[in-house]
Amino acid sequence: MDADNVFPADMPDDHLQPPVSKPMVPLDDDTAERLLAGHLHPEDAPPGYAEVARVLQAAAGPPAREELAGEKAALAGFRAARRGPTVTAGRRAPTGAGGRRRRARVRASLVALALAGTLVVVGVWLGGGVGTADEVLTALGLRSPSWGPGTGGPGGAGSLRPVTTPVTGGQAPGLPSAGERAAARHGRGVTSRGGGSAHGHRLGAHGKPIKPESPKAKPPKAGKDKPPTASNDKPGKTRPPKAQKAKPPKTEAGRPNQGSAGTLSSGRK
Amino acid sequence: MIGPSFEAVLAAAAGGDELAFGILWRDLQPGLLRYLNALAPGAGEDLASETWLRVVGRLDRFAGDERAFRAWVFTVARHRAVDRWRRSTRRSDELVPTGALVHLPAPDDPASSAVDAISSRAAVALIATRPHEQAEVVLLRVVAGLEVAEVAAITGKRPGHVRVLAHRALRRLATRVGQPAHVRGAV
Repeated sequence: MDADNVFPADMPDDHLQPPVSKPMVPLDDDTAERLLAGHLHPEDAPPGYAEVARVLQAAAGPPAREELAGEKAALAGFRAARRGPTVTAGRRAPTGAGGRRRRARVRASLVALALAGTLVVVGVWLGGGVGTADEVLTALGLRSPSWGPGTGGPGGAGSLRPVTTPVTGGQAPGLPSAGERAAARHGRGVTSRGGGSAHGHRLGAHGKPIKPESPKAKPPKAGKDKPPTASNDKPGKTRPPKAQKAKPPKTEAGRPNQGSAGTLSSGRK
Repeated sequence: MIGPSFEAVLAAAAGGDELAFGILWRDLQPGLLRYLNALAPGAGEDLASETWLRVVGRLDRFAGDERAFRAWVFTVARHRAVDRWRRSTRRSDELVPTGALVHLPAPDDPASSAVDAISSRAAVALIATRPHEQAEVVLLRVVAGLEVAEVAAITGKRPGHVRVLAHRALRRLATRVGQPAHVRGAV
């Protein structure tokens, strides 16, 4: 029994059959092929094969309702597989092109995180103040205004996934995103505070101090259809990119609100 | 079969179009279920889900016409069924899957119900009473709509052997469904 022929060889089945009341009707190859192809109407079948024709036609008949009952689940699986998400319970991780794209995004996110960390340190050194890495992270696409608590991170409901895709779209299994680490550290969405303090001074895009967030202010919420809240948005301040569905990766040139190095805070988030 | 629009449907599905994927799914799923339930009774739905998961992951790399696509999907399905059967086999010297052991006609003999009611499920169950190789070949020909060469490629057999198995299965089916009911259900 070879690898491709796992099922048992054709067993002699004569001893399993009840006594035959009449001899088997011979079947020529052409008739057999027409039966198998469904091209032989039972009325046109040779004697003894009309019922066989009916059986074969029934086997190839139109779908029953229960056979199509799983369509919604199949479509959901299709969407999940195309997104390249983490593996759901009982299912294998997407492989092939979807898996490659996911791994590429993870690698890009690691590079971007390292870069963001470097920029934060440089910004503090140059700016001499506690700013925020929000603008930089946002500009790099590592966060969006719609991230928020309850959407990810350890213990968070659902999965934390940036609406803007670029470098952090998709997660490798077990690899926390920047947002998840932030959520774990601060117990809320992705906002950054300098110097480790919860309410440090932050500088806006133009170097002006920004009013620190009050404890009561709700951080921006993640979600594809939810608009950004105003917690980090001040009049006159350049707003980070709006949350959108499935945005393509942005290049550095296309990112708004790069901000100045002076707006960065120490630490990462 | 989808027909002349298959290529457009496939391309759309490979590009992420859910509606196009739904067309593919509705076209193949009933046949997949019938085939897999015959190979692995009770596990057809799980195996079909695993099959689609694998197919979706490789959809953008498939190249071929509709017949080739059907053959590919059923090839993936067969591999899933074989993998499951291998995992479930406890003894390495067990030659016959449990589900394919002696098919003693039961009071609800599929042969009786198939001829009388002619439901697809009963018809497939009747075909599945054949030895595994015969049943598989007939199901791939009839349910999956594949030709001899495609069935041969999927099952790893020569085309001539596929024909012999199919014809033998038809003759045995004729014998079985042509018997009086008391004979069919006697044993």
